[in-house]
Amino acid sequence: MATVVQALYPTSAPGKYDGLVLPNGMVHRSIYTDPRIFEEEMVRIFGGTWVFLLHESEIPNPHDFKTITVGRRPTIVTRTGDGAIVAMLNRCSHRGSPVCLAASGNAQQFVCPYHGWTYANDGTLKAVTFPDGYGPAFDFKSHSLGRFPRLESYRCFVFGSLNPAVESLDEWLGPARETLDWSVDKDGVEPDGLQVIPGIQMTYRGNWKQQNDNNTDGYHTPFLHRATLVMNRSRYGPGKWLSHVNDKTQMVCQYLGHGHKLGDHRAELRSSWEQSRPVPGRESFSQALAAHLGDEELTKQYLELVGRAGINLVIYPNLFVMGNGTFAVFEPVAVDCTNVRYYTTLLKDAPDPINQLRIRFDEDFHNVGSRDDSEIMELIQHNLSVTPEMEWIDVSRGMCRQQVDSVTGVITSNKTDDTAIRGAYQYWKHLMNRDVKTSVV
Amino acid sequence: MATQIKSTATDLPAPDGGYVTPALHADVEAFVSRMRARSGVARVSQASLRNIESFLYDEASLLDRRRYKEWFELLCEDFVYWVPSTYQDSTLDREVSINLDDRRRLLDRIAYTETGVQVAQIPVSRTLRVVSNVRGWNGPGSSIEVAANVVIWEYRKGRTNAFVAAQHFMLTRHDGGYRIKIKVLHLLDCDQPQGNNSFIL
Repeated sequence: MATVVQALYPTSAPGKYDGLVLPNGMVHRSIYTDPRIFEEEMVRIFGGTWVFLLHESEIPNPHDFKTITVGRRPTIVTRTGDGAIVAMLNRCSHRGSPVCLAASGNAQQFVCPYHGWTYANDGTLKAVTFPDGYGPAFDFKSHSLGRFPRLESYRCFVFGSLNPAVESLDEWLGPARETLDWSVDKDGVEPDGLQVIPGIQMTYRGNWKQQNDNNTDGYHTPFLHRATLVMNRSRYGPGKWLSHVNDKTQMVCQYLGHGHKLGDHRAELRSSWEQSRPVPGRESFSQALAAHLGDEELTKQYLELVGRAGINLVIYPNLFVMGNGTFAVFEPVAVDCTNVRYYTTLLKDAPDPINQLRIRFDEDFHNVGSRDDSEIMELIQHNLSVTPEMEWIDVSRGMCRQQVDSVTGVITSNKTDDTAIRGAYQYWKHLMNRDVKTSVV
Repeated sequence: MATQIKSTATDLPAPDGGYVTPALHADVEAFVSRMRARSGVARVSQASLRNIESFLYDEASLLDRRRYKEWFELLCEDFVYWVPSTYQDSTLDREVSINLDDRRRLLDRIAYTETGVQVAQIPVSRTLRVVSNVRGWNGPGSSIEVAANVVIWEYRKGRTNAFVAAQHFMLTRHDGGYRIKIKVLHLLDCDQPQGNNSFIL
């Protein structure tokens, strides 16, 4: 019991970040605005922990690859001929050029555009151009592409780490695994039955932690999203999602350890389908589904795969899982610039209308709501960076009423509380203070 | 709460049920395919082209002045507004678009912005559309299919941004003028993370 709680809330030796995250729920503005702290995060957090890379269905076939960034590092993720997945830095060991200029594709090798050095798609250096210039002592092994020392996949979510000593992904996920399982199980298909496609992609002029905070901020809904609420209510009446207006609710937020957080709205979610806004094609596609299945109950079950699933699960540091196949990745670009890339999961064996509806639903909130989040994050980023006389932000809400589970260590609190955010910053402090060494193999 | 809600949008048309069907998807995609393959064949007359240009300038002006209710009157009963997220071979079936709106979702967006408390539009964007390279062809039935380039200049909070797109319009004839059945904007940067395009492009 004690060990579980300790693992979730490690006590580090005192470190230089102790002064930035206080026990009373105050967090220093510099963690959002200081470029030096950002550089440290890119190593200690985006190198030193497990970072979500991609979903297995994005590189389904041997020799498929996708290029991404990991804490800004251009990275190639490939599925090699034997089916294994390898992540490597897109950086020629010769003079630093990217070796892969395509966003994605299928290739058995990568040839550097500068001098033609040729690598197998597992990063092994196969050939150098005009080898006589290097002599027989040239060491091919030490000139391979820089590969991530650790890579694990959980329920088709592929994570990588540049920290060879990082704990297992299972240990890292901890209690967050339960909700991730719930989310994947809800789709109810084998891993091979999923196809992830890109969704809405956004960028905002703010720190990556702003988005990370926002995803389990259940306090702002009736205020920041007032325009959305008023519009929904005036056009569709009460009962559509996001209609809650105060903290008298069964909905909760939870801190799950290792920086992971959950906004759990399922207690007030009667029906994903009934409570979602109408999207283009709602009637025709649901009617087509009913006609195809010829079974009202089965139709209802399928329709529950569309719309809000009731979870806002943040897997630290960069993955946001919303259920019903929707997830997003936070991609830090600079201390004050972040990309947020959403993804939609299609169900290969489900009737087509379900996938159509999922696609339409995943377009929805971004056009009637989430840009208000981006706007506020940009405003905050500017404010925090130019007002040295007010050093602190306050994430203390909920300290007076949070509940700690003595067995799992999970901390639960009202949906509107900062409890999850606060827990994540305590863990941030631990990650920044601890000794960590990142490397490639 | 300090800010007054200006409108609860009760004066907008009631939401109409979805007319978006697989057949409509196919029609829109076929339209875009036709447009991409267009050549000198079946061009409209010079006189018609002048009228089409005027119509597009009027449409742009209404959007620049955020006269959404009047803009809405230019739209057909089965209007589709599409901003694909891919630059080539775009599809409605297997892609999450930047925008795929029927009249209902468009009205939602108009109602949302006209509350006056859409934070991403406080202050509102000041826009100026430059429409050019207008070409028209006779389409199926009595429709007219139009290609036009647009640069939407947007000024907001000290920054001027440009949204650049190739537009495809399917127009129907109406009362001596036109109505819009399909409007597609192929943004130059459609497959990149978008900033605050929180107004109707």
